[in-house]
Amino acid sequence: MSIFLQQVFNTLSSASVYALLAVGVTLVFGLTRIVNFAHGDLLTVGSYVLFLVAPAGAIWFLAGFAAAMVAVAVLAVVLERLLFRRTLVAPIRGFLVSLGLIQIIESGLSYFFTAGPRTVHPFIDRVWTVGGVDMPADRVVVIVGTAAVFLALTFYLERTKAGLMIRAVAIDAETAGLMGGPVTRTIAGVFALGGMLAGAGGAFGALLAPVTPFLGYALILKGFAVALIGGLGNVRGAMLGAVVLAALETVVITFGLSTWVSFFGFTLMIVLLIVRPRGLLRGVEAEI
Amino acid sequence: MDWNTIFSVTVESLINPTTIVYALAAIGLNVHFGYTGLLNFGQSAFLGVAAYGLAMSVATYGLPFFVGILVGLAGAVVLALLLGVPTLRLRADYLAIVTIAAAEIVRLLFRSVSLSKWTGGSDGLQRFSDDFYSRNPFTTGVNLWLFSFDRRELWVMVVGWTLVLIASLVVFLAMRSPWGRVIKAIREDEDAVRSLGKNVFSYKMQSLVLGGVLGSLGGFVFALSRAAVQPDTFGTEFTFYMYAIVILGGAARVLGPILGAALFWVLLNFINALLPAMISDGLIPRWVMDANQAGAVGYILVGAILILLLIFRPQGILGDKREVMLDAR
Repeated sequence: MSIFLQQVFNTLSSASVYALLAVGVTLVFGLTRIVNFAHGDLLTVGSYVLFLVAPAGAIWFLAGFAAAMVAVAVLAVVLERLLFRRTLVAPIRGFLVSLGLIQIIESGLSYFFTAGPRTVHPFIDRVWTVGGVDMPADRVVVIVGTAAVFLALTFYLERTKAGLMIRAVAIDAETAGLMGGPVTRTIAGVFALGGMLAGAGGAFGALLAPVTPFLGYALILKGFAVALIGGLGNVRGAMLGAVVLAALETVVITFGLSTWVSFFGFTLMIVLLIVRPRGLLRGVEAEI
Repeated sequence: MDWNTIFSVTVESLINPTTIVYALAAIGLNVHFGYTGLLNFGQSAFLGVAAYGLAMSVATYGLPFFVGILVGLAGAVVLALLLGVPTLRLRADYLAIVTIAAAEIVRLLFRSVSLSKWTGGSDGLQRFSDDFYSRNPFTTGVNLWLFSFDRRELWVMVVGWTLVLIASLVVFLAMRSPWGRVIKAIREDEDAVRSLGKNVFSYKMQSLVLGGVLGSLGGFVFALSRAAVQPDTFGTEFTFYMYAIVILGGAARVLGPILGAALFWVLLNFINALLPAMISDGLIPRWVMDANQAGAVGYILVGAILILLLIFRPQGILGDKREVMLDAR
């Protein structure tokens, strides 16, 4: 039983980072139809902001966490203003632009911070044991922190006027605009929101595993796998997809197949797209 | 600073084997992306399957060279069918994500430890190109002004450029034919084509197979020119460069991929030769960049060029704006 609970705990901690990544991906896609592959690199930028602000870890982590969220949100809005806004008419152009951005961000990070892996000092450096389950405190922080972020996000999207506008633009941007809604500003806002989530994900991710400049690309493949599994464009679907993918990975690793982790993840995504083109929860229709 | 070396590296990139590999791969991708509007992001897998088909046939099973080529071609066709059945009904953006994932799956299979008995794992395979080089008619290399190639390179280049010529001719004739008109019509408006009674799925599949096979020729040249195959050379970065090349040269143009490949490598190799030379001569101070960072700067420029092209000139150099599927629809 305690082995099972241990796996559940491990699943939840990696699901947290996947969910923070995939929800940003799915929000931006839902409003703009842009497949933003550079979103994974926004997460890595968040990790490096944390390294800059909080090299000593401990209580500094909180400042680093806030700085990562703000910095990545600003970066995301700048990218939207300079690049993605010009590609809204043809989202596929936005996708190709994001591939160019991957080159720039990843090479840029390796230019400034060298290509080697970095680890952050722990926030709370101890391991709690509850009922035979070893819980490194930092992983608990990641899980609880992610839950808090998503509570706030759900409240924002479903209980505020700005959230209503986001959902309206996602359903039909043209009509939302005709009703007098600020469509352009809402899209910029969603880039900022996705950036904040990526910044949080980057800070949390750095607590879990070492970070290199080239991590973003591997991450974004998983991020889109998660978003597609859950239903691209559906926020709750992305959260569900994150748990599904993380659980699958935990099972695969438990069976000693750790080099096959991405193989099983991508295969699940492709099989699911054939069986259920909208993903687990209703997302954007995948078929033409 | 040794301008001779820098210029010779740059000028050689106009025609050297790497340019051939990318030109062939981009010609295939142009059939998918430029003419049919398929956002295939798994083109590297076609090159990989062809290269491994050849290498495994010869190095693992000891089959003759030409059987290896046939196995490689058959592999590319099978991959196109496997990839096409689940994905060709998907929206363009879904297709891109799924083909990226599929190419990653192929790469992971090649580098998997459990299959290394046949594929060589992450080290890959060698010793499959002897038969190819034993047919080399050149006895010496050339050393002409800025161009210097050894006899092996010359042989690869003669075969490679012949393949580029044949592939371009195939694309030129195919796209002038009634078949090509249907293909381009699918890019413009799939529903309209369907309403005229054409089987869109079947046409897309044919395009995927044709482009995949043309690309697989690049896989052969790639494997033979290095006399080795390694799984990690067939990553997504490979496909990304192919897209940069197709867009730079101009999508849906027969000569676009060739021009794109030559220009892309001339530019990248010029930067990659110039920056380290400037650093070692002290023209760029160390605090700006060292030799390791110079490589990163090259990649940043590649990304920046692609983005600028997409924003300001999505039709590339030769393309026609009305014919590029990157426009509003």
